[in-house]
Amino acid sequence: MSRDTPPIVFLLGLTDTPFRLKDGKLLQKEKGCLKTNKDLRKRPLVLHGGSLGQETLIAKYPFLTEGKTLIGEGLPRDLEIREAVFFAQKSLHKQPCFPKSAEREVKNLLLARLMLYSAGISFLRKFAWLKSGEYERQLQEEEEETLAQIARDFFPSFQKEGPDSFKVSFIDYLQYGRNLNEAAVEKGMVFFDKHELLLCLRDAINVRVADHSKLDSRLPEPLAKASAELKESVKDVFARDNAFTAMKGKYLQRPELQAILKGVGEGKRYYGAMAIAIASMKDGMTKDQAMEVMQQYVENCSGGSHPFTQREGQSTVEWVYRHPGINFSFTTLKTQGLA
Amino acid sequence: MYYNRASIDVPDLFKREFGFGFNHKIDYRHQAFGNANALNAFFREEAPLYASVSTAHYAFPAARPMEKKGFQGSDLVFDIDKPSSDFEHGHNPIFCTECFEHVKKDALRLKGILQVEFGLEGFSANYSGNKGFHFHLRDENLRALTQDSRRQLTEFLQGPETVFSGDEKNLLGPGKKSGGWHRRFYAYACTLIENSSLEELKHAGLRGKNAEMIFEKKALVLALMREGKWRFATPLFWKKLYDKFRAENSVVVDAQVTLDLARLIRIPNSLHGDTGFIAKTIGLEQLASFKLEDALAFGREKTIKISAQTDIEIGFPERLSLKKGEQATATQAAGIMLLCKNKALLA
Repeated sequence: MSRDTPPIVFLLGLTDTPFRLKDGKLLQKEKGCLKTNKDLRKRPLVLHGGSLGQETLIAKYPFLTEGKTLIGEGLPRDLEIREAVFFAQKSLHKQPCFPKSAEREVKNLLLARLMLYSAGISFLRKFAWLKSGEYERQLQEEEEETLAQIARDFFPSFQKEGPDSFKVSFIDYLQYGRNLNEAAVEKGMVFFDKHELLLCLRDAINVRVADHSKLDSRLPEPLAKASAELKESVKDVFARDNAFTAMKGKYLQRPELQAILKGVGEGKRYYGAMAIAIASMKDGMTKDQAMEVMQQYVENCSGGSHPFTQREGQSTVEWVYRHPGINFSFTTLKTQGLA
Repeated sequence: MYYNRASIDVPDLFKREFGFGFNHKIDYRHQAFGNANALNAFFREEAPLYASVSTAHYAFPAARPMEKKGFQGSDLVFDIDKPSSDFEHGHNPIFCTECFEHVKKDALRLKGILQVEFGLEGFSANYSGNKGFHFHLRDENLRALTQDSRRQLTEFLQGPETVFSGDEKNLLGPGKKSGGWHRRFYAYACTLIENSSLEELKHAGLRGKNAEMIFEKKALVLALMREGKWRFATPLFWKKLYDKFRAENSVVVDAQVTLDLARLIRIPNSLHGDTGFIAKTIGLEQLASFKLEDALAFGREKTIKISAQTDIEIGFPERLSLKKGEQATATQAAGIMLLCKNKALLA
């Protein structure tokens, strides 16, 4: 590992706990912390009264916060890297991948995220979207108790209200919910049914898996090599998507839109996103294709004192596609200083 | 002078960026103050025509460019500056008190939604100093809301454009299990069907035989509605009914103000440079009884002499009717408003 390469735990974005590197191994500085996976396995599994034990729950849903405790230290072994590559490939090719153990699934998910982020942000985002769909399908089959356990990991205020009825604080809801208009809101709580809950959870999982705020794309040698191989092995998935992005219609071809696509400054990013989403719709793109264009735009708008996120871009696309009557106006672009 | 007797304060003042204008709304920004005394001293010395403050909290509010300020979150702000729906009235292009009264009703509706539906307390409201009202929600949890979340809130206030899908033969709409706006419209439509006489149904827009059929088979119609099947009347009828319902229940806020996390907004209790009125803070309980007179910084006792630059017809702050070029003595309140709006000059 080169001198500039940060410790693996930071690469994975798993902890803010200080670590140091010695003889190629990571050592934890703080007292009282669990030091090895063996220690972690000794911990009693915490059951929340759900239908699944914690070990099984994390194996099935390794994105859960509790899963972070199973990561351990040090560089991953070759076998672990190969398994994570396989894990990512399966998801990107929309093939089922069956969970093995909590520890292996947590590592697979994190190593896959890391390698895909290193390969390019769009790889990670595609993976997150597909993976969240997989998890949502699994969740459809779960008992309500299990659903509640998962939901509380994202919505701390989550409560079961009655049969097929749940509630969360509206502020929690706004983090991941996308359809406040159709949700029943009363006294600061949002009420919804299982279907809406599953939609919220998919969004939530997508956001968490795609989050790269604590990931570092500089990888040590074995992971970097595996990342490059992974990228090569899934490029067919992206060749198709790139074709969508390249499909520019009469609106997106306009120089004003091309300029916006290259990224705009803070204060104009939302309006730029609206312009791109409307142009994509008017050009006859599907919503998925518009999402790809939006991804590119958001990546080009990365500066600013607060982030403009992929989720904000995606929500803009979703809003525009829910309002197909909306018109494109170059005059409005000028008014907003975008042309 | 107003700022000699006024006391301007802004919560978390030292974390906010200030902007001031003498010719335009914001001539310079990236200003910061350590405390309210410094801010008030600035007002007394400079008497800016426009004074704005960031909805955002920053670690370094005076830093520039924006990226260096250290964004820490932004208050949730709603700005209502025009009526939520068109209504017939003789609109006054200089200052329309009828529009103001309409906007005030919308502000009261917004207050109700924030309190009853969102369960929020402890927010503040102020008259904008011109056409409408600002609501400031400074709760720490709300400060962390993303633009996307804020957009959901503005959409919620305005309501969805439609609650229907499908075509005439298979028109689908809200049903018993619907939530939010869909549920409220479902309840509204059910009440209309259930309680209306035949004449009332026709008055609501249903045509002859269609109205008779619905009137005679109310129980069947209501059962269909419970399942979300609305094909027994035309999509056009439902659209008109929904549009009416939406106009009566929505609040149209300026989404740009709510979504912009780096927004500079008028400082409560400062003067509005377009009117000379105070952007007066209003206790939530006093909102219903708030009158424009409460926002006058300059009285009606003293007068100034003005020369009209255009034909003038106003009903507030005083009734005044002048032809272009005509000179008149106006109350300070009316005269300064006309000067601010470039409708008159000092004679």
